[in-house]
Amino acid sequence: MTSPRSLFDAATQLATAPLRVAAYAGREARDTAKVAQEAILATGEQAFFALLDAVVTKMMEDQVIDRVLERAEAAGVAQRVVDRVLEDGVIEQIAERVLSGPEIERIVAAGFRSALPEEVIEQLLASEAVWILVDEIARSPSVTEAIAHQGTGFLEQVAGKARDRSRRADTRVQRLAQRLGRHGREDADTGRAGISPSPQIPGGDVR
Amino acid sequence: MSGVQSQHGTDLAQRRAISRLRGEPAPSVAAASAGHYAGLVTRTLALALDALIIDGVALLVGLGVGLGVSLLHLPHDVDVVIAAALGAAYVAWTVGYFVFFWSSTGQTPGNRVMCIRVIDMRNRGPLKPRRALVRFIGLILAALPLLAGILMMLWDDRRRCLQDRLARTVVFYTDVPA
Repeated sequence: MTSPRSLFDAATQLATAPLRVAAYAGREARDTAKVAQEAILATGEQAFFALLDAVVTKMMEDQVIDRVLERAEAAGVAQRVVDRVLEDGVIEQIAERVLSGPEIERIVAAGFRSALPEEVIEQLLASEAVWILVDEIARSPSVTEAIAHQGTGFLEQVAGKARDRSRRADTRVQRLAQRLGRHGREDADTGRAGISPSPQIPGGDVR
Repeated sequence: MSGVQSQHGTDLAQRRAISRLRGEPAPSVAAASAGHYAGLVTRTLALALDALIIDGVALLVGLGVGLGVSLLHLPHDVDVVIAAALGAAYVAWTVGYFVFFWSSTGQTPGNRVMCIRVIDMRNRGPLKPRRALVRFIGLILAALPLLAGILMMLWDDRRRCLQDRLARTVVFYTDVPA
C-alpha cells in the first residue's frame, strides 16, 4: 500500500524535473564557454609571442637596435641621461641607501661565511708575486727604521726605568749614610760630654 | 775657587733660601747637591754594565783564541806565553776602555745608559788621557780597602770617590739640569 508521504515525494520529483534539466544544461554551457575562453586566450598568447618573436628576429636581422643606439649616441642621449642622474644626486642617494642599509652587511657576512676568503688567501699564499711584494716591503727603509725604532724604544724604556729607580736608590742610600754618620757623631759628642775632661773654674781659665 | 765649585755654592745658597721662604728645614750640603751629582747606585750600575761589556768581549776573544790554540797542539811553554799575553791584553783592554771613553766623551757605554758623565772639575769637559789613567788607578785603589774609597762618596758634598779626588773629577747626571 502506498503511503501519502511517498506520493508527495514522487509528485515533487515530477514537478521539479524540468528545473533540474535546465540547471544541468546551464552548467554544461558554462563549462563549454570556459573551455572556449581558455582556448582563445592560449591561441592569442601563442600568436602574440610568435609575432613578438618575429618582430625581434626581424629587428636583429636588420640591426635595428644598433641603429637606434647609434642615433641615441649621436644625439648625446646617454651623456644627457648621465648628466641628469648626476645633477639630481641620484648616485649619492643610491650610495647612501646602500651604505646605510643592512644589505652590505649581509653581503659581507655571507662572503665571510662562504669558502671564498679561504680560497682567496690560499691563492695569495701560493702566488710568488705576493712574497716578492712582502720581501720588498720588509726591506723598505721605512719598515726597517720602524722596527729598529721599536727595538731601541723598548731598550730606552727599560733603561729609563732603571735610571729612575737608581736615582731614587741614590737618594735613599745617601740619606741612610748621612743618618748613620750623624748618629755616630752624636754618640761621640755624648761620650765626650759625659767624661767632662776640663772642669770650668768661674772667673778664670785653667789653660 | 773653580767654576764648578762656585756654581755649586750659588746653587746651594739658592736652595737654602727657598727652603727658608717655604718654612722647611734647610737642606744639608750633601742633600742639596744630590740632584746634580751621580750617586752610588747609579754609578755602580754603570760600572756593572761596563764590566759586562769588557768581560763579554774578553770572553769571546779568549774563547776564539783558546779554540784556535787547542787545534794547533802547541807545546806547554807556548801555551803559557799565549795565556800571559792574553792576560796582558785583557788588562790593556780594560784600561784602554775606560781611558778612551773618559777622555773622549766622558761617558762609557754604561755611563751613557745610566745618563751620567765624568768631567774635569777645572775645565768642565772631558778628562785628558793622563788624568783618565790616574782616575782608573784611583778606582782600583778605592776598591782595595773593602770599597772604602768608593763608599766615601756617601759623605761627600759632591759625591766624590777616591778616584774623583785623585783625578779632580765629578760625575754628573746628564739628564738633570745643573
